[in-house]
Amino acid sequence: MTDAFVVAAAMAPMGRYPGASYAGLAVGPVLDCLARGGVDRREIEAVYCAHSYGGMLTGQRILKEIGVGGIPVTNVDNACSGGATAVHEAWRAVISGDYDVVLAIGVDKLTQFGGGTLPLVADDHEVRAGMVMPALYAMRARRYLHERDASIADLAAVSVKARRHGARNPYAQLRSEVTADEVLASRPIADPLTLFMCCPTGDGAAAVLVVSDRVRRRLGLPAARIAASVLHSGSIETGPHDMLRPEITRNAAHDAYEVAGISPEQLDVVELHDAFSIAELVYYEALGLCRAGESAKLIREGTTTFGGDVVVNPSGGLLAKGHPVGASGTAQIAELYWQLTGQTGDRQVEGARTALAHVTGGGIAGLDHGACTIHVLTAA
Amino acid sequence: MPPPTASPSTVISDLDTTSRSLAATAATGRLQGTRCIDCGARAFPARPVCHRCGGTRLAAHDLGTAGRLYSWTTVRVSSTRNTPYSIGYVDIDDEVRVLGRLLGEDFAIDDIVEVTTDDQGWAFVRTSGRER
Repeated sequence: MTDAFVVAAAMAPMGRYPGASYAGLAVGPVLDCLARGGVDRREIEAVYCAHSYGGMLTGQRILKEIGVGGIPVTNVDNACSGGATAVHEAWRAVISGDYDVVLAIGVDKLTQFGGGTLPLVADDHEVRAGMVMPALYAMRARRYLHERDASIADLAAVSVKARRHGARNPYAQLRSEVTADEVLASRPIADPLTLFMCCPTGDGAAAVLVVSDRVRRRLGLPAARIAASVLHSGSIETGPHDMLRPEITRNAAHDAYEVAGISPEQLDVVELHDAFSIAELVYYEALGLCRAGESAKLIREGTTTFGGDVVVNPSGGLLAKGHPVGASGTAQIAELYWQLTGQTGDRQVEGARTALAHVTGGGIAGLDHGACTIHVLTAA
Repeated sequence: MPPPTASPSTVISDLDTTSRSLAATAATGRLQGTRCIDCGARAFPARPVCHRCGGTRLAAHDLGTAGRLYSWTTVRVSSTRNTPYSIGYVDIDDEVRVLGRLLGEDFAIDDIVEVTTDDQGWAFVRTSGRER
């Protein structure tokens, strides 16, 4: 078994691209990723392409445009966790010794739906009753405010931080800061969540090159070691359960820390799944960045912004970047690779050596989340 | 002796099972779910296969009308439904949590709610007299 390393990444700025197909979104990042990796397209041995709404053979439709074919191409859907699942598959392919050079792509075009909430599978009885993702998170937020010593101002503070970070990130869809008052006054979506507490609708694509130790040494590029790559699915829960305690994240994080041989205190930088600002607070606790009940304190004290103990979502997170479903997980790995190799300019987390990426894929009745993928990366 | 021929698997018309369960709830004003004959697990809406033990012997089971509101929200933006509309998670007991429409306004976590019916089917309303 060999270790697996990220040695190159590329991404399009997230935003609205009505004139681009899935190939139009992804070809640029794929070519840039290969160029930065110093790898000819014919050296790629396998590709994993994540998307949720691209239709059949999205990976192949992208790769044919640049003359890549013949090799195994696998399309991956795990909803919002898809892009990280593609990286997970690339990692598995490399550490097993099956392949030395694997490309992971994440891409989605949400503007094809014209805005509004994402279509969920209509067979689901909760969807038939009116469930949409903002409603699920709104209920989580209401429960959080009921149980924690926290207020709506704490939810707003998460958005303010996200937008402040995003303002420094050329890849973010939203590049303007907002005040807490503006967050609270923005359009109500599902009480108590307002528009600026929800990630925007957009399109995006990211690509990441994962290689074996042997190839890493040959290429001689700045690299990040994948110290852990953990994928879990949700377990059905039809009865009362604690919506503030997402077991899937807790379990995946526990496994990731164990495999990587670290504790959460050692993390310098985290990219977590902040599709809605309440999610960030809940995940502070579930990832062990603080004890249960302490998450509001973390955002209030500035612990999770630049200058704090662990910078959470230096990229601006999903709240500022947007959340093209299949792309987000791959984009997080790109961001952390750049953070660990000192390539993030004025959003650089100084001295970042140990990073964690976390995304959860949701949208099924009886499962708080369908999938959770966690990566731990270390500067190589 | 030749091995037995593999017999075809059964397709489960689960969409029909769910639809019937919701329709029966709307018709009776009571939550019409299922109970697994093998392990006793209860569910709403009705299930064709037990989620706990995988058993396929499910009996119709009346889960009653009342529960405690765990959390809720009013959805104000939708491209598929008229807004605003409210939904909530209601804990029927320690085994069953139900997502349902909520009729009315001014709900609070821990409210006791009960099933009612309307022209759209069934929903929950707050039982008169808020528990404090």
